[in-house]
Amino acid sequence: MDIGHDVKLVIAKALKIPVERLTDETKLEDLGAESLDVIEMVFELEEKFDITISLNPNAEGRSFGTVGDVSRAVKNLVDAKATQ
Amino acid sequence: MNRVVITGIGVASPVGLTLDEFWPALVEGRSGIRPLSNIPMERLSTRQAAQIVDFDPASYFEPKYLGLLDRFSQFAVYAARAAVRDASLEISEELALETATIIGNSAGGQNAIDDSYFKLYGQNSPRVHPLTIPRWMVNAAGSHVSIDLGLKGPAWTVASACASGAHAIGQAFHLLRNGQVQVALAGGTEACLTVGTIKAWEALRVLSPDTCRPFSKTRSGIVLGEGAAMFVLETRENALKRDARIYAELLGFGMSADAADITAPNVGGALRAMNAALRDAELNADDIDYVNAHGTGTPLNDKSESEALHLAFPTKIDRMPVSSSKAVLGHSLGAAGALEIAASALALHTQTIPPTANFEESDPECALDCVPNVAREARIRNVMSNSFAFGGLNAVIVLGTGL
Repeated sequence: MDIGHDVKLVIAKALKIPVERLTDETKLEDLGAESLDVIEMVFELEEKFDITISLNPNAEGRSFGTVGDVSRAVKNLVDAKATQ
Repeated sequence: MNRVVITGIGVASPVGLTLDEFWPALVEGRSGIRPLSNIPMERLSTRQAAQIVDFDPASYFEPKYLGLLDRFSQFAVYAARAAVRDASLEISEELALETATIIGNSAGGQNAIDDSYFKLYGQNSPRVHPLTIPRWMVNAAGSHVSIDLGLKGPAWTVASACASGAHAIGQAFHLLRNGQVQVALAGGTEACLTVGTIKAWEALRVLSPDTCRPFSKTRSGIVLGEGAAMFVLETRENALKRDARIYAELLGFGMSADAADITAPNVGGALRAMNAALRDAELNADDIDYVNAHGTGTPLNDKSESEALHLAFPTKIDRMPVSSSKAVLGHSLGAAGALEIAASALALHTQTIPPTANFEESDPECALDCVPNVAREARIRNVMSNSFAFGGLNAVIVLGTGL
């Protein structure tokens, strides 16, 4: 499973943009992602990968920076689930 | 005190998404009650509703905005845009600050709630959609009308079940009459045709097994509906200044509470609201030429409303046309009062009384001229529109021609 690619598909769907616009370096804020968009994206990722992402967007510095950051976080959670 | 007029009407209704479809259907008594579709039917005994089947949200809203909108907000924003277009109203930055948004709704985003609770309880999902709250909240429709049209004046949502739309329009009328705003966007919206909501209505045993026949001896209950009606209301002075078309004038608004039963109708409460509306309009009972009734088609409501009408119009009820639009539109709860005020305004504007459709047999308990099945041309000076809600909350609006 190519988690990086699947993550990009989910982000593209949640933010309603073409997946081609996304690279690992793309910053979420450059995609016009507002707080509700990020929450929706996190929900779609949780659904897709059956994981629970702890994220409190109200806390300073707790949101994601780039698409790559999201992929790494998802990959860690998927790996952690596999080793349980 | 300002005189207040209706200069724009927008509808999303089971008989059409434009006034050009809506009004002829009411006049011809063509019912929007049809077999329910697009929802799982296995566990329902209800087979029909006044459902909107030709509303395509994707053609009215950008995908990103649509994701925020429950169906009841979609109807509201769609109808509000149509009302502003219909009024040919330019909303400048300055006017936006002086424009109120007052929307009636009863049940909130039932589709959002039904979907999320199905996931939670039906599918044992550990999570629900993160936009459940912003989609569901009862004020979402009003907030989206304000956001979409950029209206920055006073804005709130009125919840009084089946009278919500009428209460909202009445409050907007009084704000304008008192000079607190220049323009108001007011109306009602509802989208309650989900499995959960219909099941709950079935449990209350007020739904008709087939169709809605107000005032008919064979009447057998409510048929649920959905939709929205929104109005541009402004002072008559403003309307004349900008040479706007005037559909009707808001003359009176009367309210009362039964303070009695949570579901049963009440003659005294209905009568007090009608009398209050006449007093507010400074009219006598004999000045009314047509009543658009609440007329739900339940045995109790229609009997009780008839009795109240006899008391409100003691010298005129024998000659007073009284019709219910619910045979055509179904009962769309928080939208019903607004859709029926649209019918009342169009009756004045076209000097035509829409009939009570589906009428079969007269009932001595509803001794009214209910304009059975066939519309009538008539000289109409003033119209009364009745809305009586579960919970005993009554709202009555009186309209004039605006001349």
